Parts: sequence; C-alpha cells; structure tokens
Amino acid sequence: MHSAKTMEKRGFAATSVPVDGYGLVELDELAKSIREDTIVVSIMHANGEVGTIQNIKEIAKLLKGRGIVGHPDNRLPGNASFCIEFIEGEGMLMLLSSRGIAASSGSACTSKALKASHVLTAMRIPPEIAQSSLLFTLGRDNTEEDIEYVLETLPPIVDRLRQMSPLYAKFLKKQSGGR
Amino acid sequence: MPVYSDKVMGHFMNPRNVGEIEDADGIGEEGNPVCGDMMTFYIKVNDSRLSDIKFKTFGCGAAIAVSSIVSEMARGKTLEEARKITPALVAEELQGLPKNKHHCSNLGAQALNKAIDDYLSKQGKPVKTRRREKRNG
Ligand code: FES
Repeated sequence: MHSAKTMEKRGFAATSVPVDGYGLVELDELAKSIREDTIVVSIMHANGEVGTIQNIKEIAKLLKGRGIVGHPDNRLPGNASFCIEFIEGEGMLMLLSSRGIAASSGSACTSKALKASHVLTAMRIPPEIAQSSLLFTLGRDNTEEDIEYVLETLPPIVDRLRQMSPLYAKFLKKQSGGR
Repeated sequence: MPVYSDKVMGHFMNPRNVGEIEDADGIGEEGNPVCGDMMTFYIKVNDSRLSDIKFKTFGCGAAIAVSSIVSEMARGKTLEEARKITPALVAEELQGLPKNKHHCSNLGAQALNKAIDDYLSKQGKPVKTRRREKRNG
C-alpha cells in the first residue's frame, strides 16, 4: 500500500481493488479496474493479519496476454486470526498476557489512533466485530504444548469478558426471546 | 498494549460490581463515539441514595476499570453527589489514564448520569442535565 502511494506521488495512477468478507480480492472488480495502460497488479498473496490466501491462479489468468506484470507479495505466516464476538480485543490481550501468552488484535481500542485495523475494515467486517479481533502468531520456538496451553487458557478468558459484556447479555436475551 | 497504573490493572483484573440489576430503578447506556464501545449502568435508589449499582461494559481494559471504579465511587452516594463524579475525578482515582484512553472515562461518568436521569424521569421528576460539568479528554 505504501509503495502504491509512492508511485502515485511519482505520477502513476493506482487503483485499490476491494476484498470480500474473507479478505479475498474480488475478481470481477479486479477485471474491471484493469486498464489499457495497466502495468502492474500487486497482490498480497497471504495476508499477515488474517491469513487470507489469494487465488493467484485466477488472478494470473486475468492478466495473461495483456502485458501486465503480476507482483504477488508472498508470505505465508503461521498465524490464526479470530473475531470472538461480544468482547473487545485489548481486554483479551491483557488477560492472556497475565497468563504469559502474547497475542495481538486489530481492534480500535488496541490501536493508538483508536481505529480498527485497515485489513478488517477493507473486509467490511462490522466495527463491533472488528473490536473482537484476536490474532495469534506462531514463532519458531513454539511447541505443541504452547498451543494446548492457549486452548486451555482462552475459553475461560472469553467467558469472563462475556459475563461483563452488555452486547453478550443482549444477544442472550434475544436468543431466549425465541428469535 | 498501553501501560496502565496499578490501580487500573487492579480494577481490570478484579472488577467490582459487574452484573445487571433485574429490577433496576434506573438504567443508563452510553456508547463511545470514538471507538464504538458500550457501557451500561444499573442503579437502585433508596432515600435518594444509590443503594446498589452494577455495570456491564464492552470495551478496553481502561473502560472496564473505569466502570468498576465509578461503581465504587457512586455506591452509597446521594444522586447529587453521584452527579459530581466527573471523568477527571475518575481518571485521578485510577492514578491517571494514558492519553488516548481519557475518552473511556467520559463513558463511565456519562453512563452513570444517564442511569440517574432514567431514574428521575421514571419518578416523574425533572431531569437535570449536567452541561455545566467539565469534560475531559
Ligand atoms: S473503550 Fe475503546 S479505547 Fe477504551
């Protein structure tokens, strides 16, 4: 994204193509935005925040024979991204860290600027769901036990924060109301 | 993660008065225009004192600590006294808040005031708005 901005400053035109709710580039939109004079299509092959892997094959088909260079920015991280509804990311991070687990979140509250992550926003994730983003990244020293430990530790934390959440209370009421 | 005071951490790890009051005399819900979070206060009033107070919060660590301390500060107070709990006082009571977390303390004071307003209007009493109060953040 930054390189596109730099290119724009140098007089090139750049178009950003929207993604769907899973972060996949919308192929129709991509096809529509390719112009006669398009020279580069830059795609983040695997997204480092939510882990979406783009359909590079289909994208390459679109570009074939049009003299356009594909530029997949390729990186496949060992990450797992969740939105745990009705609770906010920072609270989860604080409780996880009190149990020795480091994670991250794309919630507005965890960002300095108090804005939800641009990745989640581009995926058109509603703001209250983006608030509940939680992201785990595996490092090379992580073991299977570490994952087990997270799986044991996380549910009670979710429970505890949900007990505090007015949104969860509303959700439960709505459910028991038979709707 | 922001660096919070010991007091904030204490209230976040161990929030007081979490919950709802089934037959509340007043309920105040306030949304946060900055990050989209939400706080709800439930109050019981006896002899124009806040005899019971509970809260639910969807928000950051600071927001949870704020609601917890507001509930402690307000419990047992008269309505008039409870109205005097300003965001600045809340932040002070929490040994300070990080700069970009001051709006979370507004949320607490406002939700409590709304609960008091709700109680008064249910009683058919005039609702005093608190525009004169100093805002923070
Ligand atoms: S509630 Fe969002 S930053 Fe505090």
